[in-house]
Amino acid sequence: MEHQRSGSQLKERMFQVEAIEEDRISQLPDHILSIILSKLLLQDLVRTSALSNRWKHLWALRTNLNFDMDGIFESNHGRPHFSTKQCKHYKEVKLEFARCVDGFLQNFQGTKVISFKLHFLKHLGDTFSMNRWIRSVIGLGIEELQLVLSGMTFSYHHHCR
Amino acid sequence: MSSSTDSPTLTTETTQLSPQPDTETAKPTKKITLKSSDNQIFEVEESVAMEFATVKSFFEDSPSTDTVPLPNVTAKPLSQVIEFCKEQIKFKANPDEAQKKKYNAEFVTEKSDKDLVDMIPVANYLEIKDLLDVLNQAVADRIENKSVEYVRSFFGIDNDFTAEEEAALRREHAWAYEGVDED
Repeated sequence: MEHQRSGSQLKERMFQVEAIEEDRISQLPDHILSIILSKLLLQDLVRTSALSNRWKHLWALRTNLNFDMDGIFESNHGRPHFSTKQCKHYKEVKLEFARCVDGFLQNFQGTKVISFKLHFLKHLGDTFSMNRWIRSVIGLGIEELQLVLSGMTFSYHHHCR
Repeated sequence: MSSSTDSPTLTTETTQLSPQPDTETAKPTKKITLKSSDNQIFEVEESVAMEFATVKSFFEDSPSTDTVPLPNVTAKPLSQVIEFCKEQIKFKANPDEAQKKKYNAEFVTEKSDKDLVDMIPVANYLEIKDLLDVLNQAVADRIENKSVEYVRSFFGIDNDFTAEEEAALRREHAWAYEGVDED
């Protein structure tokens, strides 16, 4: 392991750090950044594509997709983001949900999706859209597919290894 | 770098695992010296240093070394990482998942945004998987529902898009930009 910095270089460097914060996060390897990405809500994930060129395509590393209508998309902290309680007509909510999922999946360039979950009220379900979404991820190595409709859970676990 | 073995250790930041006096009568636990890029010396118990996969393999390659230089790591995040690993050692000796979870949560809660972000490359370089996981979850929580501008300044990311490129990206996923928190 080399220890290459001379005293004056070090001093110079320290002053630089004071002045400009170095972006050490973006220098991390993809597989480390993908751990952060795997923990974000899907809408937060999508926004990382606008951070910089380095981040533009990184969100494709995400392998767990969890679309939840009661908090588009899932929420870690129960944040009511897009709730059916917000005085919107069901039809409007349904269309908006479908629009978000469609938009996400159209632009998602991931080559592997391990887990795919869809949560929404049964009577808002639209089998045509659901089929389309499931088809778009089914070829990407799915191991877990979960549909929760109106509180009824249908799970499919596929273990290939 | 070179110091004779019997000279007093130049410890600018001493680790305090326990109030044990540093005498020869105490049970001898092997100490390892780590040197940060800003030339701070850290003396840590061997068991703590072995939590760092990078340091561990350094010793496997050159067992006679007395000081491990860490040219990518500055003193502040290193001291915080050492603090974390010392606690993890205690949990290894006395497993208590609930306490461990509580400690890990408190460890990140009390850190500034900058401290968390600065520790991630260190945890990665030293290959401390548990810490990396805790830190990544903590930063994910802190940028939840935040604007692009906020996240850039959180991580210190330079925007290298042209205005047109950025606008196009935002248009592509307009729904994802609705209802984010005020900065």
